[in-house]
Amino acid sequence: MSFGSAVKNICKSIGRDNNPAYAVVAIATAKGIFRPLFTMMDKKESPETKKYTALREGLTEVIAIPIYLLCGTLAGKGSALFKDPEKAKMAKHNLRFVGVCTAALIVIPGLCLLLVKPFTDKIFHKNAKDKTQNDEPAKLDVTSQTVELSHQKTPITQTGNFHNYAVKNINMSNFTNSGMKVG
Amino acid sequence: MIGAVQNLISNPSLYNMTQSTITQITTETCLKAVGRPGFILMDNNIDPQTKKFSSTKEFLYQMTCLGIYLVAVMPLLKKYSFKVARKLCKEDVFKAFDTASDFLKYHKMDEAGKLAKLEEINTNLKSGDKFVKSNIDEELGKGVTELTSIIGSVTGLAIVAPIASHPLIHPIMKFLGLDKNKNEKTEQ
Repeated sequence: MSFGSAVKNICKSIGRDNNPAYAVVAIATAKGIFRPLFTMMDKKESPETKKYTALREGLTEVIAIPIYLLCGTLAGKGSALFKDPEKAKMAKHNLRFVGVCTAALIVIPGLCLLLVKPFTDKIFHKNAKDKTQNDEPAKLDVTSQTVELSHQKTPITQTGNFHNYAVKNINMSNFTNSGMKVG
Repeated sequence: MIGAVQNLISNPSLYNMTQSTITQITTETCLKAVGRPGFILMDNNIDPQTKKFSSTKEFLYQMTCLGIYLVAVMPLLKKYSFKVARKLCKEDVFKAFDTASDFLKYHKMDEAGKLAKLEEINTNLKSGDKFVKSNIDEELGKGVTELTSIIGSVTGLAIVAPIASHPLIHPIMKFLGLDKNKNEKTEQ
């Protein structure tokens, strides 16, 4: 079979029944290749953001392709309820369309929300953690109560344990701005 | 109730409408424009301002893609698909009709309408060719129309629209007061 006759057969097949999944799967495949490619070509974004966005976009389309096919095929099975062959043919096509629409509206965005973010976060977790540790400014904790030290409960005069207390708690910086200033 | 659903599912008008790739893509893109921002807004892990920004951007992106596809890509394909097919394939269906739009009008007609249309085409022909209904391969004509629509939608939605939508989306976002840079500056 030559290339020309193969294309002709494909055209005839689409002409007989244009399955709604064909177009959406073709678009999802192309988007899965080109969207991450365009993102990686963006010079304004940082390399880390580009990698993260490209991975998310690619994964979204990787999830979308089998879901479109699966939802379309499963919905089309409902046409078995129709006994009239003409009606069953129309019902099969219409149900496939409904299945693809359901996939686009609910199933794919829902699955992406559940799967893509945790997956990308898992991959970029280490970097993100390091980044937040470095970037976040130190916060002054004014709400928590101070930890009570054991030596405060038992007076030093009773324990006689002076050497430990002196090393741990006396800080010279406490005395730098106190007392009478001379000169 | 079940009977009404069955009638809707096996509706011939819905069948004819959804056989068109343009209808399929338009419906699916409109659903994406609603579904994706909806799920972004439902995500509790994102702060409200980012949710608003991302959902508006996603909605505008999908609508711009659809607009570019319907206004720029499809008219060109409808005009030139039969001209290209005529050069590659010597079938009567491509010789009888100038454009895909002319063929689709013929395809939707009933038997009497189709015969009348062919008669009209034959009388207007300058060459000695005569087109007979049995030689017009409608499946091939419809297939070429739909295949070019699929190719057009792939080119339009996956390659042209993402490039063209970026310069369009940012001014709209700015106009709506949802520009990310502006928000970041205000926060600082």
